[in-house]
Amino acid sequence: MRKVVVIGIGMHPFGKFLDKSLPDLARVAVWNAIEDASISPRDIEVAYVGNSLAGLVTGQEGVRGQVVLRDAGLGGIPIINVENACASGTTAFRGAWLEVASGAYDVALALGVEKLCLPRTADSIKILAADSEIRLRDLGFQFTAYYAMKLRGHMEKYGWTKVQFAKVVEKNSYNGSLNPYAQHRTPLTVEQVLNSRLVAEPLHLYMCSSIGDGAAAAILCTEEKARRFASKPSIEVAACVLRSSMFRHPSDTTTPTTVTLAANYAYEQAGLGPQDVNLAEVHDAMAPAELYHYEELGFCEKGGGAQMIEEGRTKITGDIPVNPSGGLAAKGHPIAATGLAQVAEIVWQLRGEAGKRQVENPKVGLVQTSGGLVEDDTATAGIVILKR
Amino acid sequence: MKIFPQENTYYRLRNGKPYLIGSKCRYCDYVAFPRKVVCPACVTKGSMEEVELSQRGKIDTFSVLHIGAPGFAVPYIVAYVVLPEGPRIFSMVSGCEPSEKSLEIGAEVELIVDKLRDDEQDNEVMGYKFRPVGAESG
Repeated sequence: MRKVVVIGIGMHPFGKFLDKSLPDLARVAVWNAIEDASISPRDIEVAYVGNSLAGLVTGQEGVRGQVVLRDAGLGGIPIINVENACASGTTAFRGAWLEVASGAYDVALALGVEKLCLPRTADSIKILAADSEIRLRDLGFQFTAYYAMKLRGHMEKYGWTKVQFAKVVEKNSYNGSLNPYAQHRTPLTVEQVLNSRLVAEPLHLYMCSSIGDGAAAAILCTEEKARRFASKPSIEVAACVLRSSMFRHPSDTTTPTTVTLAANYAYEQAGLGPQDVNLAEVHDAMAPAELYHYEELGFCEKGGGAQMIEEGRTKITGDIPVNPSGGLAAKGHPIAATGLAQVAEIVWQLRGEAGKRQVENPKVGLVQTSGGLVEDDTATAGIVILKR
Repeated sequence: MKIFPQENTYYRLRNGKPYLIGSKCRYCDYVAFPRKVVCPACVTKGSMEEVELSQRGKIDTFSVLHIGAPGFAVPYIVAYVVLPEGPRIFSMVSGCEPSEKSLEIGAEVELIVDKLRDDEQDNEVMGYKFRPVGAESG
């Protein structure tokens, strides 16, 4: 495998854009990435396009990537459409990485784009249910329920509290307020979070990510080409891992979670450990989920997540900042755009371009994305480790 | 009109009382719900035989939903229920107030068939649910 670097990233802000189409969102992110990399669009040799729900939102079921990229001026190259629920963007990133790492192509684009906002919010909520097993939806399942039930288990087992959950939102909403691409830019207090309406006990509205539109893109290439192209420091892809969940015997309490198995493989690939990670963007579709991701990624012992938030260790100024972008709950969660927005944040941070959100001198950053649900576990887990 | 789309797929009735249909592996004894052809535990094809599952189980975790799945009237309770044979089953819980105070982890629940939701043709979609043991209605 060849060494692969990220030379350009771009985003379309996350939010509610009823007047913008899927190609509108994609075009902005792609061209921001092209300009960030200082390359010509003709230098791109292959593209992976992640999208989860356009088939249901707009009716554009097939050739989504070809449609949006043609509008951005790209064509003639192999375009591969990928779908992996909330991890679609991370899966597109992996495809682009593999093309360059394998030697098939030198310059690859990864794009994640999602349009979810419809005039009637109920229609969007209905569509979102399609990212879990339909069998479960017909039994009354929805994503907040999954997170709520998992978190209740941790409350029972480790004594975690709703106040601690609200503290995650307090941290992430503050970070989001510093992010010009974030959907929600109002810092929230613990009290405001706990006074917001209940969605799925113990989850309150402000703990949950909201429905949004957006896009994010990355341009990957070989180290050698990067020296020719890029004016900005290249960021190395030290690891890129994707896993699906697998059968787990109900009595099995020792096998690590799908996220941990993916992370362990990524650490091995990178030749690094959790102690080497300077910052992380994690998949907090419901903000308190961050707390068990800390333990799944090896940042603390089992059950230690709540103590980390109490001690402020994951703030921008802490020893292991998590979700400096605001995370999914503050930044917004346009499904397929999420993974590449997480990559974008880590790249900005490693280059020292994160403005008011800048973490002090990070060298290694980690992205963790979870996607969908099968039976009672995340369907897909993606981990990317980037280093300066 | 009441419709029963899950009958004979997820549950059957005997003497008017429902039981869930599981399958048990001839080789490793693993019990799955819903039924499988390939045993998820030992990954053998064709080793799964149909079994009747216990009508009672215990709440593993639960939540009261105030925003629900499409067509479901809120608030309602959902839970993972663990049966003595092993399966951990996602299900609605009714027969009690949809409130935090109605349930706790470890509480004993029993299987019923009750209304899940109204569909787009205004049919009452019926299906399996659990209720606290001793509750009068669904």
